[in-house]
Amino acid sequence: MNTEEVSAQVTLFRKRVDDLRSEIAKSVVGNREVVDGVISCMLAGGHALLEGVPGLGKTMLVRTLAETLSLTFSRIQFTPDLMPADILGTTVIDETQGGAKAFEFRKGPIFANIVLADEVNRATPKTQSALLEAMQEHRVSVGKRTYQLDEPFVVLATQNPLEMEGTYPLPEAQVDRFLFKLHVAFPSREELHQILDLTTGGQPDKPKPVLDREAILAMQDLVRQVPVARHVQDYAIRLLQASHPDGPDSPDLAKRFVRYGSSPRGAQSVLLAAKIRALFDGRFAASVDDVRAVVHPALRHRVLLNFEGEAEGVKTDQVIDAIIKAVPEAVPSSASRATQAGVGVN
Amino acid sequence: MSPTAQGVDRICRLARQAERRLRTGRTLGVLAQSFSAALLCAIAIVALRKLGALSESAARALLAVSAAPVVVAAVIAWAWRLPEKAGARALDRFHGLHDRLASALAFAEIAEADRTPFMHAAMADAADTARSVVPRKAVPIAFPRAFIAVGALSAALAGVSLFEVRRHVPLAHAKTIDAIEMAPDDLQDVKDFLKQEDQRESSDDTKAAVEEFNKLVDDIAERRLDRTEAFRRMEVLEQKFLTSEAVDKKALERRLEGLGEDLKKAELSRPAGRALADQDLAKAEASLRELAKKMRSQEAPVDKAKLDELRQALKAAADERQKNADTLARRRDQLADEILKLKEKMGDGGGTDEERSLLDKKKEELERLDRDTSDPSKKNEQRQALDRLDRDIQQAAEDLLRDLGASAQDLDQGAEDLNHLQEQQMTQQQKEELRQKLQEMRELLRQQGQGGKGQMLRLKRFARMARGEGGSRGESANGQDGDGENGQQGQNGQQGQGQQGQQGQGQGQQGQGGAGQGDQGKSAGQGGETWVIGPNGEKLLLLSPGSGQGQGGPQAGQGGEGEGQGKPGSWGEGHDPNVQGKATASKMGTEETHVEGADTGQGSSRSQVIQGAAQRGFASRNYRKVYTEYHQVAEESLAKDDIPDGYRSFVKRYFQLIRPREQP
Repeated sequence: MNTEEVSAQVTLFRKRVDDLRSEIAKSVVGNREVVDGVISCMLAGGHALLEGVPGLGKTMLVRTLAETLSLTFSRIQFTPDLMPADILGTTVIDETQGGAKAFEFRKGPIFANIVLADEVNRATPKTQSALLEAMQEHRVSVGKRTYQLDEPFVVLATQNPLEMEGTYPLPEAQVDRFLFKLHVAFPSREELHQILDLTTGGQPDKPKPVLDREAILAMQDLVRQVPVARHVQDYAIRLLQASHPDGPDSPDLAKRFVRYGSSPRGAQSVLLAAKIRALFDGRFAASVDDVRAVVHPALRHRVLLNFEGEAEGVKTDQVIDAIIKAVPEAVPSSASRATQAGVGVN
Repeated sequence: MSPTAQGVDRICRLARQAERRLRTGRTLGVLAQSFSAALLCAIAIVALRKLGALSESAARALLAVSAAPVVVAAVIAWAWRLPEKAGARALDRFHGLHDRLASALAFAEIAEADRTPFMHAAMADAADTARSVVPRKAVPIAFPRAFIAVGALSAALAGVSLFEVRRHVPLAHAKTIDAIEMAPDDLQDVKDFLKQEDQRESSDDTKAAVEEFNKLVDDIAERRLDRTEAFRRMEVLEQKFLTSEAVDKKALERRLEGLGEDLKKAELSRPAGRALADQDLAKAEASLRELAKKMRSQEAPVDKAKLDELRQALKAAADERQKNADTLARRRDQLADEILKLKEKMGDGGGTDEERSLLDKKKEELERLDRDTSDPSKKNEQRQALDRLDRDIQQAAEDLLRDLGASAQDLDQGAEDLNHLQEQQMTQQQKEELRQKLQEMRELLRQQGQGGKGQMLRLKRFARMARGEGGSRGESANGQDGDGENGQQGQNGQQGQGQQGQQGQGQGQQGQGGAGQGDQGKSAGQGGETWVIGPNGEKLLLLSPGSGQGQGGPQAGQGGEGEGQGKPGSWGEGHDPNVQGKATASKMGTEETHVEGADTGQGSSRSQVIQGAAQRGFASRNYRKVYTEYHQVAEESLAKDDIPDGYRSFVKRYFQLIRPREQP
């Protein structure tokens, strides 16, 4: 592949994304960052955790995305009595035409390209854990058999931050599996006008599928090819290190209120998201600005506050803001190399 | 080279250019700050230099030290490592290139084989966008605000530099002396004394001594001498007086007395002998000349028996002198031997204290005998004159047998010797007076030195008051020492209460009726006492007999009423009112005559004069008269009475202080 081909692919990538945005915009008003975040998660092969109060269109967004993609979609409403088998599937005794009976595995809703885990925190940890292998390994093990999930596989979970009664906070291991944690903000007045216009008027245009599976896989492949300069990657690493209370550039806020910083998955998420953002802009390499732009959704669920931080009502976004402020974009080259030698990121 | 490579190369140049600008900007910033600090230091250093707190070399060194960090900081600021790809990133940031240039440079560092198509695409994209990149705009070299401070501080430094260096030029301290000081009164007194001495006829060496004394007094008056030098010169001067007086005066007197006794044995030489025995050299000279005249006289030749008697007397006198001389010579030789033996006995060990004392005594005696021997080098003029007199008398005795005229000439020569001896004695007396004055002056200086400046101030104030130049009693009463050097004196310095002499109530003892004379009312007034403040704050008592007013009642029906102004220690004056003459006939022609009063000096009573002197100074004519009388009495008492020298000097000092002054 030469430069022109690369340029063409990037252009195509941008066009597809723009098409996708346009189709989503037919049903979802505003929330551009959330939409881009969801798209980024899909293109990165990761998963997204959407957090917002009820009625902000989280489910609508995921459904719309599924509609714009020629992919299988399943929605799982998480409830406390939901069992792992309800998600993964179960083995049943099936009678063949010949009258013979045999065990047959009936796939659960997890076997879809896009899975909407609605109000994921309402299920018990046991059930929540059923998603772990699927999200990380893109496969499901039932009994002695393992079933590979079709690619692309994207879990888009939602949760309500306010209604905490009868909920089970996601365990850190599972939260870490999400590429992004996206905050669905309340729409602005202009956006509300548009929402009202769309939903209370005539029949709106329904989103049409604009991307099929192959296209998405190709886009995912292209994302992985985007290079990252060493200094950009170094910046991502230093941000990650600073999220730890004992990190070299750790701000006071992190030192005081952070119990545990981001895992290396955080840096991976940042870089992948930065690459996608570069492609969104039609660039061939990720930049520091890209990194800085994606740090919040990529790290906010990976930075764990301590008791004092939670008691003080400190938000992880505040900590991340402090980290961005504290970490310089670049350091003298020798120091940079030392950092690189100390931390290795795939 | 491919377009991409060219593009990357261009990016490199642009990045380096941007980095240079970054370094320049950073260096300027550091330079401005360090220069500001250095200027602050320089201002402080220059200010210290101007104030003289720093030497020129130290200031230069400190300025260099303060300037050095500026250079060092600038060099460090330029050479300090920039962040990775700082230039490229600065260009990216300014032009909104999202790290295109920095990433391209990073990809260019990767081996070409390892570069992915995306990397090439990124580099090509960067090379394409680099065309519009302008480092000058991307990395503007901002004028550091600190340079404003640099300007202000430079102006301040220039301002401080304009001030003149406060040079501590060590003043050429003339070696001033702590000049000795004498009160003007004392100086005047010494000068007056020397003036008198100068006017007297005296020998050349005495005149030279007086002149030297005068010069010493002038130097003290002009404050050209410190105490050490003044006392040194006084010692030298006194030594000159003492050297002349080294002769043993009593020995001379004994010799003259012995000679007189011998001469008294002959009738002819008896007057001269008596005069010599009485130490009256003038009379002895005259007697000898008279004797010589008699012997030359042809008209009334001297009786031969008397001449023989005279010869015997002269010969006895000569023999006696010779005998004495021989005795002295023997004694001298004996002493010399004894001293030699004593020295040998004492040996090198020095002997005992008793032996040393004995040796010293013998040496002193030998020295005294040496003066009496005939060695002319060890005699002064007086002794030589006396020796000549002895020889002349001996010669006269010898010539008396052969030639009466020659003998008379010898006696004339002896008279001449006596004259010379008398002159020597007069000179010696003058020197003694000078020496005594010198000692008085030394004692004065010693006392004033002990009294300090306060005493000198009081002396000057006292002299001012004495001259009547201001200073009331009240001021004098404030004799409290300003400097408090002598508190005791200060307390004593309070104004004495003058006890005014009481007007004596005299009663005329006798009225001479009809004699036209007033009764001589005896002054019975009690002696008045007036206290004045002395220079040391002490009370000076001015005594005066009270002036009495006698009023004598006539006795036996003729008593007159005496009325007169009593004089101290004298009789009062008065007259009898009943013994006036007849009344003037009224028909006689009268003529008015105006007579102006003449100042006869007889006005106030003595007590009034003294009190007035105490109040207004010692410059009045009346006071001079009173003082003279008192001073004469005091001088007579000092001459007659046996008063210790110490007290004598106090009396003299007392009268010297209260002596009359010239009218201002």
